[in-house]
This record gives sequence, C-alpha cells and structure tokens, in this order.
Amino acid sequence: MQQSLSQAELAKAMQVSRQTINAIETERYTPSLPLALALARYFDSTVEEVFHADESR
Amino acid sequence: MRTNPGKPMPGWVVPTLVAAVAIPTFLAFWAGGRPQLGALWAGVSIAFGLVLLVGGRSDTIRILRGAEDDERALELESRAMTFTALVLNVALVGLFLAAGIRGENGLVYGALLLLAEATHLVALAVLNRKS
Repeated sequence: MQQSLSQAELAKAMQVSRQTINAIETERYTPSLPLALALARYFDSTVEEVFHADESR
Repeated sequence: MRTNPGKPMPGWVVPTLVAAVAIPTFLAFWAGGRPQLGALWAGVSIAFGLVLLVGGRSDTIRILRGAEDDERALELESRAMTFTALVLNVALVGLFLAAGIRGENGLVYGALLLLAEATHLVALAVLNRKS
C-alpha cells in the first residue's frame, strides 16, 4: 500500500474502522468481497494484486 | 457497493438500556421482599452501564455497545455472541444435571435449554430460507 496514506485516511475512504485496516494489513482479518473490491479500486489495482491468496489452500 | 453494513448506534443507547434494567430489577426484588438484594443487583447493572458509557477509548467496549459497525466489528460481535451462547448452554446443561443429581425436577434449566434449542432451530430455518 502507499506509504503516504495513513490507516485512518484509508479507513475513512473505505467507511471502516482504522482497526479493520490494521487487521487486514497484518493479515489478522480477511475482508469481505465488497471491501476487497473497494480496496482494489481505491488503489486502481486488482484484488489479486492487492491481496496475496494462500496458494496452499 | 457498500463496505459498511449500516449506521453506527449512538454510543449511549446500549449503556442506557443496560442501566435501565436496574429499575425492573430493583422493583422485582422489592416486590419479593428483598429490596437490599434488589439494590445490589441494580447497582451491578448501573455499574456495567457506566463501564460501557465511559469505556469509549477501548475498541472492545465500542464494539460491545454497538458504536463500531464495520464488517470486522460485526463479525467479532457475532463470533463473541456464538461463544457466549455456547458457554451459557454448557452452564445450563451442567445446572440441569446438577438439579437431577440433587433430586430436583430441573424444570427451569430444562425449559431454558428447550427455549435455547428451539430458538437456534427456528433462527437457522429462517436464515436458511432468507439466504
């Protein structure tokens, strides 16, 4: 994710709490599909590029 | 596409409801001739309501009082409720069995267990139809 963007700013843009963004970044929480898509769109990217799926599953 | 399930509940609602339980609690125990015990339990309710009200700096307390409503908070709340229900069910089964051992009929515990299981079944059926 962009270095200049704070978790609070991203949380506000995504309409979620800062703790949720932190939990996603630290891989403690897997976002819902709408949130994952919104994050990907925000970064002008794809879900696959933003998130690294666990290939072992 | 919505990433937020809804509008957060005002932070005072749940603490007020919890504290408001103090009134019927006191009245019930007062009616039963034990006003001091009623005052004690009412005090517990009010204290819990105050903790919810003033504990706004804690994420956990904010989720507990419904002030955080994003998807992660709702998931955590749902999982915590499931765990709470499990603990209550185990406690009820234990109390039901203990009542049986003591030679009591265990009617209250049995009825509560039946209510819990019936609620679970109906809730699952309704949710299954809706989704």
